[in-house]
Amino acid sequence: MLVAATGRATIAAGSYVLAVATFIGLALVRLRRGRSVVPAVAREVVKRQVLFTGIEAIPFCALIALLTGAVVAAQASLLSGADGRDLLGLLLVTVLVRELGPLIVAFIVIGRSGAAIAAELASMRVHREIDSLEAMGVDPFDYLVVPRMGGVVMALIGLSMGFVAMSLLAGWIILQAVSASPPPLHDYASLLAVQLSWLDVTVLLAKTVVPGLLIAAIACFEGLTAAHSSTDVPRAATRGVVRSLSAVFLWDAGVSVLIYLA
Amino acid sequence: MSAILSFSGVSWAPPGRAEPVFTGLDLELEAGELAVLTSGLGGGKSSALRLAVGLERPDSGTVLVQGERPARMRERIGYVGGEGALLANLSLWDNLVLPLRWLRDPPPAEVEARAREVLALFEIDSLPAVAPAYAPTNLRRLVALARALILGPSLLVLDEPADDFDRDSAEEVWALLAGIAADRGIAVLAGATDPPRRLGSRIVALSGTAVPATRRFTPGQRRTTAAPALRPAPDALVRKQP
Repeated sequence: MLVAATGRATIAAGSYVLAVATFIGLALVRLRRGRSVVPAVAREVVKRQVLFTGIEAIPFCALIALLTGAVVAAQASLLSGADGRDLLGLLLVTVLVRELGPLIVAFIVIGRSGAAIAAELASMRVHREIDSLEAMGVDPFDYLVVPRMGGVVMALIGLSMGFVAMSLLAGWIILQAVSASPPPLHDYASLLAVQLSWLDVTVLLAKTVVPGLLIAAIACFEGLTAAHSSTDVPRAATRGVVRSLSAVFLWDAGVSVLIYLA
Repeated sequence: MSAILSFSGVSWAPPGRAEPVFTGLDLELEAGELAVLTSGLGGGKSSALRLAVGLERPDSGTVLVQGERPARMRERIGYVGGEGALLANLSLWDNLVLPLRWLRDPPPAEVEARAREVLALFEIDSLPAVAPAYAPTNLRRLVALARALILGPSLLVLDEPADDFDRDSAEEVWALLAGIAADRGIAVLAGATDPPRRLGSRIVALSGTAVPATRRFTPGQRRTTAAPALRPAPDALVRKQP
């Protein structure tokens, strides 16, 4: 009984992963193949997505970045002691750039945009708007999914860069208050620069581009596969959030493990 | 003259249901002609219209638009579903021009000229800059009809096109549609529970209803709660309106 249930759950999870991977693959193929001239209306969908997912999320992201940077810097300062400048830089770069920055931004984007995209597309299905698009000859995948994926990825990269910068700045500010020998700004920048390598930039990109694709793909998939019933709209949003969180956690953990094994 | 739309021996059942909603539907529609499919609730009007657009597939028989499968002819078909189905996150204007901008992407001046031309067919000079939710339902319906015409289709498929209008205005809408069909040589297939009476258009009665025809419910009358008995689906009837 338990074995059968586990088997069924594994098959269901495998099918889901395959479906989302196909979704992402198809979007990338469509993006790459493109059209000779991308219609202006498609660029408008991307712009709206960047505005909603990226620009409008800046104040909240900035607040969380300041708080996270302050907490991490205070703890790092305590752990590294007065003479442990290298350790302080290493802790800040490792925790904020490699791990927490992209993860927290992904969580914010899932909470704001992943849920919204899934609910929006599910609602469009309920109101037959997707059918209407299809009947007009407008491919719903090209019009709804591909631009949203592009917009979410761009927004996630921008927000993550901004988050890292803001949290590191907040770290310097808090060090002025809690450290026995607070570093001047240029010293602080140098100790971060010493620790920052191309690997960190690669990890940051890996933890923003792929999660961006995952969040948008899962949200769109859940929205477009919702039933034609208004009660399925919140369900689609919930499934989108929960599955995106799981996917992003798994991806980030996998990347981190690979980096520390390498 | 060759038919713009042809249904030949078409039967259709909803997914997961064995009993067809209609069977043996034969219909040929030529350029400039308006035909109205009529049935009671659940009688298959909307489904037949969805078959004409290629949003559903027939269980048997064939549906062709200018000799091709409807899904391959989408740019030649203008479709307005039951709710009009304008996109909620676009303004009325952006909804109107979406198919033109997406499929052909002409210069803005050309988009505007074409949009004004189709709006003029419905005597609309300008549109309020609002999302559909903030516009009157009859204006939404007219914008959806104008959108269906913006690509210059050969076939219009309309589900309850006059549903959001009072009786007199509904007659005007039907007359407008018949005029557009005749003037522009567009074949129009419409679904209506209450078809127009004075147009001389063809009425196609899908009488194989899964649910008996709607009884009008007036205030003060008790609504019947008993489930209606299902009837087998006889062949669709085709007749000329007298």
